[in-house]
Amino acid sequence: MKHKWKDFDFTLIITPLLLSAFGIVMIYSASMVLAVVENNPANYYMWKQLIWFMIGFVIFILACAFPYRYYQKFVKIMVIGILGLLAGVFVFGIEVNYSKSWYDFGPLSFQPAELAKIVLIIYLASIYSKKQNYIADFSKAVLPPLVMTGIILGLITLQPDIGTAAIIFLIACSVIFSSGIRFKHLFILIAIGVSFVVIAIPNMVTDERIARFSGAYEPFEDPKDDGYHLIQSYVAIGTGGILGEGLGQGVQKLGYLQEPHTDFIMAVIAEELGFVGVMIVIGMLAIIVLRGIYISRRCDDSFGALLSIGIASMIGIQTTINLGAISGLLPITGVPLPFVSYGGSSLVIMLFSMGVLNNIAYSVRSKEGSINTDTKPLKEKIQHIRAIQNLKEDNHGNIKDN
Amino acid sequence: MKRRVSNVTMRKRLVTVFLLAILMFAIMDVRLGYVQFVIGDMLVDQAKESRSRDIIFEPERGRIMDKNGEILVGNVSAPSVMVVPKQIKNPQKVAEQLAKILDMPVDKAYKHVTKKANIEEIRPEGIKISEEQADAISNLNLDGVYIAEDSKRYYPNGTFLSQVLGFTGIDNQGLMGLELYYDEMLSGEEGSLSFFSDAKEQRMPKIADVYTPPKDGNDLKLTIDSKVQTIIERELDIAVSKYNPDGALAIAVDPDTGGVVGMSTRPSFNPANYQEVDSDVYSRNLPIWSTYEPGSTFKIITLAAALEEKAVDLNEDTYNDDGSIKVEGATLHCWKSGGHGLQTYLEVVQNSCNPGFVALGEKLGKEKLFSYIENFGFGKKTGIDLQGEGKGILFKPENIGPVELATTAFGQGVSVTPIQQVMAVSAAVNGGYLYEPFIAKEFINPRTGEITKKVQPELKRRVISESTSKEIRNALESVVAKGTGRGAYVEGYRVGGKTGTAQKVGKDGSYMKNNYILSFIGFAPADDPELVVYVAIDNPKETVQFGGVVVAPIVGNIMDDSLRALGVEKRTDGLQKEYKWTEQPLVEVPDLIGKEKSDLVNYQVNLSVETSGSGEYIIDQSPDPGVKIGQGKKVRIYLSESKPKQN
Repeated sequence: MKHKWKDFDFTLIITPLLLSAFGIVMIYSASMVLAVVENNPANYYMWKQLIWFMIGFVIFILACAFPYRYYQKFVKIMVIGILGLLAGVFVFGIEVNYSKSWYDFGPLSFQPAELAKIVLIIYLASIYSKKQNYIADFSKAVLPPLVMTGIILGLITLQPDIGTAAIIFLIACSVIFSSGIRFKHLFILIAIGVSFVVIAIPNMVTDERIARFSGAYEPFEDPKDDGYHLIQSYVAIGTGGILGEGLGQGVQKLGYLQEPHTDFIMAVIAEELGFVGVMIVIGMLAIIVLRGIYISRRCDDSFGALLSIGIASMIGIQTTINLGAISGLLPITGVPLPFVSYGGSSLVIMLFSMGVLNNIAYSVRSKEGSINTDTKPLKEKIQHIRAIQNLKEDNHGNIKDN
Repeated sequence: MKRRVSNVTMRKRLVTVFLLAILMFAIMDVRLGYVQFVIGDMLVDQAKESRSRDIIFEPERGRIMDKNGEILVGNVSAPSVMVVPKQIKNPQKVAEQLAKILDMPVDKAYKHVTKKANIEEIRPEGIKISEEQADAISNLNLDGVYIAEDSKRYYPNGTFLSQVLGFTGIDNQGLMGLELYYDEMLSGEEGSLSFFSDAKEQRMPKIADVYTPPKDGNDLKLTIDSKVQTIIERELDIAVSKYNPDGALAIAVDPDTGGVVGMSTRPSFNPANYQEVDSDVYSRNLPIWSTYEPGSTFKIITLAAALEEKAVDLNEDTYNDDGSIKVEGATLHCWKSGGHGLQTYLEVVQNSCNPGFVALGEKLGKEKLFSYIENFGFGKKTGIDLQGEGKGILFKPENIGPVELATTAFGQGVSVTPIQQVMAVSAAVNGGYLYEPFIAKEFINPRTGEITKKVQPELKRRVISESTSKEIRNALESVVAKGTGRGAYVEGYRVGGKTGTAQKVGKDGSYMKNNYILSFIGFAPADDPELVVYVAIDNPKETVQFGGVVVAPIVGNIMDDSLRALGVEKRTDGLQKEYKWTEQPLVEVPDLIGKEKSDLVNYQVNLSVETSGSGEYIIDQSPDPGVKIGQGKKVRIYLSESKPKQN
């Protein structure tokens, strides 16, 4: 297949790169004071993010060129690898913020849970697309992948990193929902999920977590303590107004917002660039997410479709949890804003995902292009032939269930 | 076929996901917009209040001192207890120990030491405790219990200048007086020790703590001279013990700037223990708060207007007082029954003759008299930098008839504040310049000693000419040297002034019986006044004194000692008080038989009183009414419990 430039989805190439670059600018603005306070040069965090961005950019280009279907072949290796990394973090990892979730490689550190998100998406997309033909069979098609999802979730919960675990859970839900399983099974799954939460909650509930919930909804009840972060975030957003105080002019990052360059970067954007700046960032994220779902819809290949929807969900869910936290709709769980927040593992994984999505988009477009030159009956014919082939392969298909 | 069906399901589901995603982004947009625009301002305000976080370092409140830098209000160390609940190992035991030292219930202390907070104050029991308590607590060596340095107000002079200074609350916030009026300048800014914690509420060990030092408040230098103030306080204390009045007040002002040199109120209080007195005592700074009919002191305004308008020549024009004057059918009496007879207008002023002033008022007419009254600042707040100033009441222009004009001319029917009178008289004697009174002179940075703000005297307007002012000074000097104000005479200081006896209006709107405010307003030296002093005594009891001799000597004493303390040189060219009785006009003994004892204050004569018997009613007197005797001679009165029979 020859590359045709017009088959690339330039929106999907430019938007993530622009967002990441914008993120680097905002990280510089948000972190310069913090960096100096920590006895580092003012551009300390910006440089680190820039290095990660360059790594991520190379990976992005590679992923764009790498045919996505090959991931399906390496699924087993990837899953085993990520399980090893997640387990290894308990032994070799370093503790940051009371969570053992990082590998430390000198100047750069790496969070395996971030990698686990995309690996799980590939895994679920692969396994559910393979089982498309008997997707209605619960014990055979639906259940086995869930066991693996549960193990990954459990390992991350133990770190503990509740935010990432919640995101992974929601991504899994989204992929499973999109894979077309029956509603009856979906309800069973939800029931299992709920009972898991009910069992797990007594072990997970600590005063601190309760406080974080109350902090999200009644921040002024305890402004010095539990409500503190949210109040400072409110102040940042509230002072911004329509156009903001101007880039670099914010004051909330001067020690008031505790993590201005990571989880609360949107609050800094709101303060310095106002509602307009916020709308542009959210708009760009929305373009990526909606484009991802659109590609998923256009993709004939169910692996590609589920992979796209998984990536789109990951970005959408993470955006929601981050913005929900800074605006007081959801509890604060320490989830970065995709592309924009400081954090190398997150940025690299996001750019890699974008590369994968671009590759899917490319294949969709080039295929559509070739189909368009063809006649329509041919497409139906191909599908018909494929369907028959699949029927042959599928000895255990529950044909009655229609 | 199965595969295809499933693919269709998948596509349907994807549409659902797509819609969900749009909905989610919409919700986020709306929520952020809502936070930014709808609740933004409120949240910012609320958050600013709660920004005082972590460990607070209180600034030292600015001191208040007199114009020579003598400390009137200082600060002393008063430690406070703070606990860090997370560090407390045995809360029950700690609570018991703290409760014992701080004298509070154990369960209340327990609540504090187990509170879910980074740092908790034990309020109010643990705030501003004594050094002994603080020592006892630090000797316990408890983990998580800290003694924080704090300070409280210290008043080296006790009840001195109390209503003016005011006081502060438990958090050193100004609650009353200058402490409240200049709270912002005095209070400074809190400092803090902030430690960073991450979104998971844990302290970040890598990040250095940030210390913001507190900014101390500005020191405040007043126009008050503590030497003059001490003299005023002393004289009022003496007056209170002598006359047991309902209240008393005094003001001393520099007429050339409007700066308040002294100000005092009785009853007084110690700002350190303000809770011990009734709130009326500390909230009413009488020299600026009280409003009442001024009485004869107000005649100075009528005099100033008449002189400025050239309506009268004090030495040439004469007035014949037969004891009363009829105005539109109403008869207005002179305080002296039978009247003063034929007098020059200078003598009218000296004798404080009411009908004479009615005549002056009539010469002026209502428009002119009332425009002068307004120009002299009556009916409006003076704008002094203290809270709780009164405004006074003037007749509404449409209600002024001949009777109102007549009574206003001698100080009845108008209601004024002491500070208004002092500023008006200052203007009358300083060449005609009406100043805004002020009490804060400078704000000083306590660290550098630099003046951060300097208050300049504020000239409101010029009300009369220098020549008129000079005539008033001479006339009022003669009132003291020769007339009703004789008690205020000070050798060498050329005191000028005017007595006043004001009837008080009771709750029913009519004048109260036997209840007067006696006052005297004086200035000195008459050639170039350095000080204007006003003293008023509200309802002196057990009076066996004529009005003219109750307050005038108090002002005389204040003048004498104050001018000396201020280093004002004695004059040699003033009007001399005549010591040879033979050369002095004799005083006619008033008819007192049938009057009540307390009515004596109404008589503006310079005689002393001796009593025989007991009771309220005067049944006889010696010498007899109408007999002329020397100034300062004794009049003996015979008292009885019952009214004498009418003859």
